[in-house]
Amino acid sequence: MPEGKLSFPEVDRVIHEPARLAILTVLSACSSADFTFLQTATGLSKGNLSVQLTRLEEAGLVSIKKVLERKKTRTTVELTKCGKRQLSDYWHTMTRIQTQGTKQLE
Amino acid sequence: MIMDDQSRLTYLTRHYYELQGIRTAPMWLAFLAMQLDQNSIYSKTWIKDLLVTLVMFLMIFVSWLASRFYRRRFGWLDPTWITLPTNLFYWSIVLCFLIWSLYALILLQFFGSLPYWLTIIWISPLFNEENPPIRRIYFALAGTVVISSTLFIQLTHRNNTLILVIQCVVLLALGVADHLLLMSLCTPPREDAHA
Repeated sequence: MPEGKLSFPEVDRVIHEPARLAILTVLSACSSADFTFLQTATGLSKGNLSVQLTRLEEAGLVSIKKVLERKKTRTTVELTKCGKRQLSDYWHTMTRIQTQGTKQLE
Repeated sequence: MIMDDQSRLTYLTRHYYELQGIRTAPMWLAFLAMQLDQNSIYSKTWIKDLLVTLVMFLMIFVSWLASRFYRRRFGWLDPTWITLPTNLFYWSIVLCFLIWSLYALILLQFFGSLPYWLTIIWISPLFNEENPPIRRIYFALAGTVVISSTLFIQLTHRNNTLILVIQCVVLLALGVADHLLLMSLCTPPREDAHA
């Protein structure tokens, strides 16, 4: 391998962060989920979850909708098409890394 | 229960509504109350009917309250997955039992296969490999209890009401167990360090 050039597969850093990966894992198993469910499932604090969702929305991975229900705002989040594709690519990359790593150890 | 975080999140999301055991509990309580009511002191039919209607309405209200509780406490999601059992062994059992019950009905004039059918329907999570071992264990135990007690009651020609009472009590217990499983899956360690 030439010096300075890594042949390591490119990992999407937006997805790779554990809190965001947890959010995307939940959203990939359903059509959409509300803020409370995401908070319950991931165990993140309100502030942290809000920050991570904004980051994911900025990256175009999720879409956030706010609906007014009985004088209360309900936030629902769903994975975008781009998000689904990128998450799928991420898992393929991780599988490739795992295969390479296992081969090197053998 | 050992379950890695990714499996836990996927399982919880896919089976969220299925694990809301307290929502169905009032229905089993209502059935149970109706069965126990048959031997009650209220001999007048209209009082009995009024009581049954009241119990039904009360249970519908309690079920609605339970749904509200789950939505407020754990949140809401729009599911995409239908959790029908895909296990070949399960469908083989269903097919074998269908043949047996048709044989028993036509040739032996046996009409008592309904409790077994009910059990086969609600026992399906036992054959779903997505479920954690603990859930499969308590469904297996519940199925064994119901099938063996139904068989015993039918062979000893005891009161058939007992069969329905046992089904209701077991389904009630399964509802509570599912609720406890949901609680355990919904309380991961707080990971605020990722901010």
